[in-house]
Amino acid sequence: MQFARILINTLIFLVFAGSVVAQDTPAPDRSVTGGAQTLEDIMARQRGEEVDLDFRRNATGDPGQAAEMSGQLGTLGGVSDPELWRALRFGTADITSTTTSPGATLLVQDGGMAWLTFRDGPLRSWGGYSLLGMLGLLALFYLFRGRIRIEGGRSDATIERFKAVERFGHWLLAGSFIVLGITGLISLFGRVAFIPLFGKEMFATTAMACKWIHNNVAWAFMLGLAMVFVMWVLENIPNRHDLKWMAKAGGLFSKHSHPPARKFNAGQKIIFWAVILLGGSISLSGLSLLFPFELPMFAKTFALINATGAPGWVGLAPLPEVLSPHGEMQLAQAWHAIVSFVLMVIILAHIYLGSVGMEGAYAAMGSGQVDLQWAKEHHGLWVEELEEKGKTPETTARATPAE
Amino acid sequence: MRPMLLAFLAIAIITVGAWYGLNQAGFSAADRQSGDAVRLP
Repeated sequence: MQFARILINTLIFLVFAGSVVAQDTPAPDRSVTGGAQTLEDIMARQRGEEVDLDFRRNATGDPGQAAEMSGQLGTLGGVSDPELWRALRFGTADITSTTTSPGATLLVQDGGMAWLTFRDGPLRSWGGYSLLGMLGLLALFYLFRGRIRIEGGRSDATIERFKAVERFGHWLLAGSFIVLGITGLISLFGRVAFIPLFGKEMFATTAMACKWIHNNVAWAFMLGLAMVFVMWVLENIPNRHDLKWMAKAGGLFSKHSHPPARKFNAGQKIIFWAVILLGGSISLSGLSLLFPFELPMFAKTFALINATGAPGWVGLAPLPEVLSPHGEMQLAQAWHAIVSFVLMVIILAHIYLGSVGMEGAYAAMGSGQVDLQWAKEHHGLWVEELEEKGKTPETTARATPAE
Repeated sequence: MRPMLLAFLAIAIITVGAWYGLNQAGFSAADRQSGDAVRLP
């Protein structure tokens, strides 16, 4: 039942996103009601079926055929009250507002209900399960593989892996991401997880604080993302060593296996590009949310996707190229959260391997000095490159046995 | 350790700075969505 509910919610979302599968059912006979909706239309909606609402959407009067002002009903301008209400219902009425928000003149936007259903349903369920699933996998990995030790034992020498500015950029990105992740999760799960525990008043204050923090910490995240990209992009371009590394899964699942790697191995490159691409996408949708209605991106993106013909490959109708201001915001929020969950799942694995999962790994971002033996086992080619350049080993005796 | 602490400090400074700067520059949601005839607190 749970799955069916999730599936139905997903389908509703697909409709909300405009991905309506083409239908060729005959038009229903509405002669009995003179073209207005019939009992069957209402019942179909009650059953949750998709009803083509064009017969109502387009029945909004015809000012061009209106009677003269002096004629019968002329003052209505060729539009009856029901027709005016239909125009309001479907967002085509000519409305002016002193509020300058682009969303102010759209009085009814029924996409909001589908968005809310998606946010409260599949987004929370799948997002939550994906985070818990990754934590479970990491626990299993730790159980079976244990901590990945420095096989040759710690040496008495260290080598500089990351400069201070690199570590600063990393922690700017990492620190802000964790704050954004926690405040984002509280915003999404607060109603179901926070209110029952702490009450509505407590949550109201917390939610406002989280929104403020989330909105403003975002800039640190974007700055950190830009720094990390500039500092490490060249060393993260894929090369032939990555294939060998991938073939052995980096030695993660087998002891005594240390596939050679340069400064970044294939696994770290995957993390890097995931952070850049997903983090970049989260930043864009986040900017769209930070400046409501001012940076609509989805209609234009959908137009680009439609131009490639991609929706047709999977049997879908073209994506909508005209979206209401609210529709843009709803899609931005949904996309922002979905991509954030994907990145959080990936980063959980990164945090695990950079801390408890691997001996000697944390030092790279802690002191910046890694154990020479660790470096040889995990980044052998990088150590060789440094030695060829004469930059290493500028080693120092370790003052303490462990971090 | 020091770069990490400096980065966390930078996050705090950027956060408050972004809030203050955007509000000063008239980029609050209230500012962006109101007209000249509206007096904002």
